[in-house]
Amino acid sequence: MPSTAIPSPESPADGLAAVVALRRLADRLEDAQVERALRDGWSWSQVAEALGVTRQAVHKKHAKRLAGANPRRRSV
Amino acid sequence: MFERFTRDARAVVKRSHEEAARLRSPTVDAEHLLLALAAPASGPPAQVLAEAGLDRDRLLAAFDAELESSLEAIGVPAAELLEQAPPSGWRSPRWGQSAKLAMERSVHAAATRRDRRLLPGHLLLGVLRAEAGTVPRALERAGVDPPRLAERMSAAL
Repeated sequence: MPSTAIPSPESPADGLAAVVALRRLADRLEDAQVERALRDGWSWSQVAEALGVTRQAVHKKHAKRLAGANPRRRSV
Repeated sequence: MFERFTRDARAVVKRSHEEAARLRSPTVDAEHLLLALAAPASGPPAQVLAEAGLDRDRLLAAFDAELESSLEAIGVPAAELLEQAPPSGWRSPRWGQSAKLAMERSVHAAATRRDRRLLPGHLLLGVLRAEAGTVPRALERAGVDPPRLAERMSAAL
């Protein structure tokens, strides 16, 4: 398999901008995948364990945002 | 902080929060302040931005381009991933650090000019005085020179 070098940031400014961009991407991926998991029938606890955080943390972060994503699940 | 803000300046602040909510951002950032300032209702700053070709659509495109290019620069296939994960859900954004910094700088700009009230134009100055972060990078990519824009805004204040 051909190796592809991952380019490294040209300057600290670019490097830090990459960090910011990765965090934004991670946030959006988390939002999308949490919603997807819940719609698939995952429980809040299972989502939390997959993310390595507490159920309370995931619920606090996503429940309001997703009100209605998994209506049959109890919220607690 | 808001006591010296004119009604129009407070409207810009409110509009920034609305922009962040509309774009489903967890935080209100300097980008959202800039988007709010580009709205015609914001008055002189919107004119200064329009003269530089920066309406809301152009600004949004610049922010998206900055995000994508920062990711592509380290080998992340940004466009695909971002498309698969559009911002979603309802949220009430909290004030982010870049917006707070911009507002502090706006207050400082008004104070330095000895302007008694803080106008939308001062808010644009505050945003344009960012030394780092998404806004200056996006503006640079859009071919805009923040200090020059700030001069034009100062002249119009």
